[in-house]
Amino acid sequence: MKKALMIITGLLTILLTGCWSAKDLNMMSIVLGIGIDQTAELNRVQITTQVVKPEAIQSTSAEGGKGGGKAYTNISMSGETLFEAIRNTTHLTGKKLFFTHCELIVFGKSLAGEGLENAIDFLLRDHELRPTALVAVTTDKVADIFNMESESEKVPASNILKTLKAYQNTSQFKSVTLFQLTEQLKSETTAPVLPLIATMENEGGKKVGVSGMAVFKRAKMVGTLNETETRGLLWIQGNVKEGIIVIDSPESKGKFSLEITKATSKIEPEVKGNQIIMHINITEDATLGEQTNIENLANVNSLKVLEKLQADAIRQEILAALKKSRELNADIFGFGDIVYKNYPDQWQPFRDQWEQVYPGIDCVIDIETKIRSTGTLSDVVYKE
Amino acid sequence: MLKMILKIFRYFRYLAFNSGENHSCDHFYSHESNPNFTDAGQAEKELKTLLLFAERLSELMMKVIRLLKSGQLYAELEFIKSELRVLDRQFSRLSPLVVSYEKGMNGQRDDDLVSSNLINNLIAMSDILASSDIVLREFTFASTRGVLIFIDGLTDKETINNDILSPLLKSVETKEKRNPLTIDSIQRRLLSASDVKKFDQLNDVKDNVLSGGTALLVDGLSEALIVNATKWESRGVEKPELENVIRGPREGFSENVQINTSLIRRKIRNTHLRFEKFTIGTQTRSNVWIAYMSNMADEKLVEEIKIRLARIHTDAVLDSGYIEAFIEDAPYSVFATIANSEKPDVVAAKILEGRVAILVDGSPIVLTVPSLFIESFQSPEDYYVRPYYGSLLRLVRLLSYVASLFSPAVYVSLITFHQELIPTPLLITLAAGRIQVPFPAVFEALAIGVVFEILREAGVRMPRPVGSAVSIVGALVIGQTAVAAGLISPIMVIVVGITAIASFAIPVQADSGTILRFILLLSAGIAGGFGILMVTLVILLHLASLRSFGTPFLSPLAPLSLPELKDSFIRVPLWAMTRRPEILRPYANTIRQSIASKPYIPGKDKRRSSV
Repeated sequence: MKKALMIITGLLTILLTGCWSAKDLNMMSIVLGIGIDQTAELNRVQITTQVVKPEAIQSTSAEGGKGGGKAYTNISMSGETLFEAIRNTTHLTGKKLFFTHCELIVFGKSLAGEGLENAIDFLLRDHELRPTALVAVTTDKVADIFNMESESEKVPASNILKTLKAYQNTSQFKSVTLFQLTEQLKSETTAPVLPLIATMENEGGKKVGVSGMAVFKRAKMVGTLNETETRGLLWIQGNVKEGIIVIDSPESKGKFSLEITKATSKIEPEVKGNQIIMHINITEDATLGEQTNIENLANVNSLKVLEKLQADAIRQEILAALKKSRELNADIFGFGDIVYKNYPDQWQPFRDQWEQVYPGIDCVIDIETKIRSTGTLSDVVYKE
Repeated sequence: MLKMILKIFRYFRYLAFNSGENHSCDHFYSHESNPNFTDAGQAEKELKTLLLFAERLSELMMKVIRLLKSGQLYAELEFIKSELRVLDRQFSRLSPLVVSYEKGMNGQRDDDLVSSNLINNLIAMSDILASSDIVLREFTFASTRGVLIFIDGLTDKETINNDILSPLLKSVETKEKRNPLTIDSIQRRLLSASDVKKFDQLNDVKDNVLSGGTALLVDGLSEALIVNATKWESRGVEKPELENVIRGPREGFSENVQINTSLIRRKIRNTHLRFEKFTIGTQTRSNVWIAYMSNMADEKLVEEIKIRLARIHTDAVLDSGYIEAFIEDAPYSVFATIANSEKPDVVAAKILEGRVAILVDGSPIVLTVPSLFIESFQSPEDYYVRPYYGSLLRLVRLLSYVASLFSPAVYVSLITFHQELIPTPLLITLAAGRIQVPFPAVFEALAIGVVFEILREAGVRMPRPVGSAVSIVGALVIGQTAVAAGLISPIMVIVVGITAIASFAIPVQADSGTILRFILLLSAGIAGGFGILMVTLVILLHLASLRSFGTPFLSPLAPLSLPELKDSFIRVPLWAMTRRPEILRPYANTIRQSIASKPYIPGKDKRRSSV
């Protein structure tokens, strides 16, 4: 009797408690991207979430793109804090937002100008958001960016994400994850750099694209880097993956396109009294991808010349980046951290006056380039 | 503690109650018409055991009372425990069920001898003669009366006519006149049948007649002759339905145990192959045979099987499943600890590994023990094809077992608890598929799971021509229209389909797999991945605790036996399996073949010159 009672109560506790923490797919909105803006009213944030409509995606794919309606909806809501704004969205949809698949976070320019610190806390504290989500800044309103449809992707957020992830092909901008952004914000000296997305005119239509990188200082946006400056930043960080370097031919008319295949960098700081010297060593491998002159370059001497020209081009890019960072007085390279890691004892005097020290840092740049191949041609096609 | 004391007092209550009942029992038996039954002796023996039990119990009770008074009960805990064990043993001997059953067995078996008076014999055999299928043929030969008793349908009439009746009837005129008629002279000179045996116990005569023998009783002779002229209709050796192979022998066991033993004997022409016969079933008196290699099987194992078989007291043994139910190690487990097969080559291989086979007359399924979990993943074909493909097949089977157990549970837990683990495009597809479904995922999975089981059951039971109707209704009506109507999601149909196909790849574990699949599904619906993990742990613990006739069920994995892994997830070439499974017969010579039996190219192999 007692045993039977125990078994029954045991079964009831298991079976009647229902499904704890179960969430049905029908009752959730899958968020693919979130955008955060500061509203005109003071101290209110506006969140725009891009929610996917699964049935629309499914129907368009099944019927060959004819299916009606957009595959997404944008839900905007404002609140005193980010969390409040997010919960308020249930007033509009009745479904809870589900953030684990959100891979894109876009900060509006208004928020970037005010400072990211208000938004970043929630983004990291909430367990549903992933630190691997990519972060970007826009000069436009977030809602506009999220409404720009593209032909390849049904959801704008996926399209932006794809664009950001493709940075390696040119190495002219860089994707930054939420985790990397946090790392840079935690540093005392480093200035975070985020990709800047904007709507651009492109062959008669408007498209969303990356226009450069936004430079932050103490979580506030202070300036932007253009493509050359960004490449320079990536050279120093050793983050150049692929990309094309175009060089003018020195003697004859024409240009060369060199494809970067491998690049590494090594930074060694040196502290001499009050002076900091950064020794930057860059090694780079490239292949000859294209030439528009008629001289055959597939011999050792010509390649040597080419390698030197290439090194000069890289140096120009690096110098441009250094110049911009000095102008903004923003340590986008993380030199401060490098010095601290190598000379923790000598670091203290620089720590408090990094603002004054940084523009005066000397950089010694040493570039070693190699052209490994000339592609599938060993001669020029057209000769005079 | 309290429980133990309560048990002691329960015994006491039983004793008081039983001693009264026991007398009535004795009365009942003494009224039976059988005067030869040694009732008095038995009753006396029984009373003595009862008395012994009572004395022991009273001693223990006194002791417990003393201890309870002094409050030192816990000091003597071990002693009380051991005493209780002894009492348990004695009690089981006293249990009225066992007592009455043993009596019943003895009561039926009387020890009458064949009388020299034919009429007396016929009266004594009146119990079987009353049945209409018994043929009683009276005749006179050499001026003596004789009688043939056999069962219509179990005997070969032609043999009876030509080899028994006609020699006997013709003998009147010929030389037999002078000699006095003896049972030996009939056997030696008159009967031309090949298999003739003498019996002087009436019971043996009856038994033999019931199993198809022809009894010859002659007036004036106090012995009977049994001519084995059995012949009945039975299914021949056919292709087995369950264990199909592409490469390998196609023959399967049939219902006739004689055919089955001959099939094994034809595989193993060895003096050590032993068959032993038992008769089990008080009413059916079915023949149960065990087969083993006397030089390979563990003596203790054979002994244990004989003990367990002898322990069976039941009315009927209609299939080997009856035997399995009575001798298995874990009667409450969902896993079967006794393997079975309907292919002689499989059974022969297992006998040659040192296992014991149990054959039951009337069943084409032969049991083999001990059985290991890993045997479920082995098919005879693994050994007949080349080792690479054989190993691949093993892995595929393992994979499909895992898939058949876990796929609905994992799907449900992913979709209701761990959506973050699903890649984004897949999640969107899943969400689109479930947008109209009105049920939670667990319920959906349970419902289709049940529908599938119904379909499967209907498919098995339905006659062949109607069977296709089941699949059409199942596939079209349930499958397609339910998805179209939005009652179930198409992905769930895929998941259940994968599960179904995967479960067919492991027919041996199909029954346990179905039950475990539903348990896992429920736990996934209640607690997600955590629930699956917990239930899986419980299953693994249970598997590790099982034993089959002394052999750990999970061996050679747990306990790990490295040499035997050669024939587990992979199957190494036959020449590399140099030893027989040691786990089945520890400390014995288990050399199967020397490594020298590896094939070699003449002249090229270095080993050749040294050998």
